[in-house]
Amino acid sequence: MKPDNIIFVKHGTKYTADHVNRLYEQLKEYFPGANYLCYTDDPVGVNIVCMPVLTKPTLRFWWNKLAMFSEDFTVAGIVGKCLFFDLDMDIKEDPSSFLKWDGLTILKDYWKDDLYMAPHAYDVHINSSVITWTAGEQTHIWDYFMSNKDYFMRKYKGIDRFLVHEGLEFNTFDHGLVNSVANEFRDAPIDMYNGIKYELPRNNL
Amino acid sequence: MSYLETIYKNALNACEDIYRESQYNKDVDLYRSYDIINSVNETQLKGKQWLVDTLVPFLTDEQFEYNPLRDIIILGSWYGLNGMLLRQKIDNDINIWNVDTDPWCEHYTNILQAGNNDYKNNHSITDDALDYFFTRADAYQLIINTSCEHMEPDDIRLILGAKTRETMICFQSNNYHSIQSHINTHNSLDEFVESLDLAGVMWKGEMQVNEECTRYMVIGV
Repeated sequence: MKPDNIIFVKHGTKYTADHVNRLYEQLKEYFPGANYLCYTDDPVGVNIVCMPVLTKPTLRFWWNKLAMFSEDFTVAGIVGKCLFFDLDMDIKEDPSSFLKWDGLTILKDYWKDDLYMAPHAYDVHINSSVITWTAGEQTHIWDYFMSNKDYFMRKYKGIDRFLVHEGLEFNTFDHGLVNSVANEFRDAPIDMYNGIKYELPRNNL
Repeated sequence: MSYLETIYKNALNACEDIYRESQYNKDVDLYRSYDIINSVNETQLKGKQWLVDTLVPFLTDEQFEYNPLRDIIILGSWYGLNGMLLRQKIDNDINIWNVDTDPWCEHYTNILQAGNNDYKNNHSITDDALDYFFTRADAYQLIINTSCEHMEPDDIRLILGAKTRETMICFQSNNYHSIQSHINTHNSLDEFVESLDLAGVMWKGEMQVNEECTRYMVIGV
């Protein structure tokens, strides 16, 4: 299946406009008809349409990803099937056969299957580096986050833990969509650097 | 038992109850116990005691001659520690209104205050602190906000614009930029004070919390 919108979130200085532009160049080969959008606090150098981050509430880092589910995105004209990528991804082949739009869909971390996770550590087996959803159908996630955001940001180190441990519904992609470069190798259309490896030498950057 | 010992005892009891209930109820939030412990830790206590010790000398009859001090609002009060410490130094008839948007803050504030009749006029409200304040902005003679770093700059300016001219404020912020929920930190005390644009600054100062963090405080109108 093909997305109507492909969205990137760039906030702060960890990733640059080059990361956005590179992903756009890689993806447009497979999804030439999609609308490409970068939700960012700094549009300088980004070669696709940019949407400024919400001025209220002010959020930092990865928490800005949750704003993609807010009503503001549909008000801004985002409609239809949405596909989000983190900026530490390397697209090698067409990922279309793995993509689906069935509620909120995110990655399952295949390399974490055998790890012990204490319940009160709030670690998770999922990963929001790739997300699909239909615009306007996940606004409850944003609304729920906003109901007690300071507590959630103290409790969870990121949005993956928030989604899982607050009991928000999601599905996962079938295995094979990504290869985590820091873990056991799997042949997959996308290499994922898991944030911590974002400074590794990159083929096309 | 001192008031501090009572607070600690109540905090420990709250954590014990959370753990015990979590053994039988999957919906119990274990993190809440960690959050309660953090709310009364040495750093929190030091920052809030600093506020009380500095602020109380300004709470004179002369200062409130035309509008006596009857109601104090604490915005973003968490589990009510600030109000409990302040209560030790002010008259029991003065109302302290703790307001926090987190619905569990009211519950645990009441637990931390249990067993001490001094807190009968320490009230806990679950509401968006700003919404609550704006609907009764002229009801308070003193506004305390120890978490300006969590609040939008324009919301803080709205608070200051909505309060009556003589209402005293005591605000804290910090330079702890690396915390993900800190959206309104400052690089210096003067930068913080300037951001508030007060009609009058009665006192300002800073306290080194650790290598990464300096806490700023200003009292004014």
